[in-house]
Amino acid sequence: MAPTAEPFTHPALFYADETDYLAGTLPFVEGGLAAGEPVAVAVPGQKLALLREALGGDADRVKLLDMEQAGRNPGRIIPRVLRGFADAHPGRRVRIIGEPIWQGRTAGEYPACAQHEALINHAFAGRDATILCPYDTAKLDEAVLADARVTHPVLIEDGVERASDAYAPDLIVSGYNLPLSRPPGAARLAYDADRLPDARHFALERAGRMGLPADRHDDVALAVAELTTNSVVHGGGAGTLWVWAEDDHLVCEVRDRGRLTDPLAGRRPARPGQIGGRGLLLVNYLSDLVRVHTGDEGTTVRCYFRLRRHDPSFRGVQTPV
Amino acid sequence: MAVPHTEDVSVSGHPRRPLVSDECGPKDCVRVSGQVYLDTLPAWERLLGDLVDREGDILMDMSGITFVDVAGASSLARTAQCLPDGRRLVIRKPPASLTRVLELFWPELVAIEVVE
Repeated sequence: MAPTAEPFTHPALFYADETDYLAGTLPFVEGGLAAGEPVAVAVPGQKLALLREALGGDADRVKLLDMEQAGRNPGRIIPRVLRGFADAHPGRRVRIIGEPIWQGRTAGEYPACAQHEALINHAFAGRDATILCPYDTAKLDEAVLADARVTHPVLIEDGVERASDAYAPDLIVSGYNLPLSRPPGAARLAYDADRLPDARHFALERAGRMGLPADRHDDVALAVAELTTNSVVHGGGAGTLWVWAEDDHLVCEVRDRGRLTDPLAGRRPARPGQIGGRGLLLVNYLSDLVRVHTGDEGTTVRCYFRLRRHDPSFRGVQTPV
Repeated sequence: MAVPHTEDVSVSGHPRRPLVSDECGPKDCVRVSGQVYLDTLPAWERLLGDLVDREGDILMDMSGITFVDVAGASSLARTAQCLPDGRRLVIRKPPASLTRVLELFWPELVAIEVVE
């Protein structure tokens, strides 16, 4: 039997300046529109403005999303942004520009960004889609660009497209599965099935004391509830919750004896009639960043919530894409 | 830099929190109080099952519910999805946690009406 061509394509576009950027992205968008394909652009705000202006009247035919908001937590880009758009157009080939990594990404965010890029290949395998990921070669570290060659099967540089010799996305998924260190003095609570409400109240009480805006308290309660319930149901029946403040964020960390074997857990959008399977997805939707470390000794999931309002849409996801 | 706020803290274990429901007001409204989570999920699903068996719209006063987790919200959404055409689930003063989850996962579910 002849091998079937993989319908999903996932090129990285290396660009050095705005001219490069537009040369690599505009024909991609316009080609999609000309072919009648649904097109979405999810890139950082400044790049979004650049593309919107360059597209002129065609901008109205493209779904435009500020990735700094929609994709602040890299863990929700696949379910909410990419599959959110692709699934809204069943049976049609879609084109998406997704730029999840920019100069301002922190050292804490970056491992989750790289894992996200690697997991796109699994999440979209066999699907009719092209996801083009621009990388700013002038501003990003060489290590980031090297990772992009591992997470993307195709590279576009100076207008030339070629297969990546380094493509091996699972190495990135496992390589960034890093132990997470916790600051001394973080508040700690051990829980089991009897103490699930205590775990929620414990996190909420500290969230209030640290000044988390009141309209995000439910996000913390829901995220902590899902993580601690997962420990009780799937992670050995008990676990430990730690809460602390770090770099302008409230951090809630849950450790248990379970092992997360599905790398796409929490990244598959839920179908409306689906029973269960929304816990980690919800944690990804509500948090500003989620980091995970899993291994034989157990699983740690850490979620971050911004303590201060940086912008008007600072809250997790708001409306469906 | 990490800023530790508190030392190791222990919280005294609360007794298990039951989910309480009773009939209230006109039109067979059921008032539910408590928290919906792993422990009370079976009681919550039993209650929803009983309400589906009744006639007409389902009226629930949730002003006494302080928290509903995703599994509880899913059961509620599933109940509403299974209602025959024309029947609705009307919920009064649901907790913000429930509203947030319904908005995220079932934004187009018209069989649930939220009232003040």
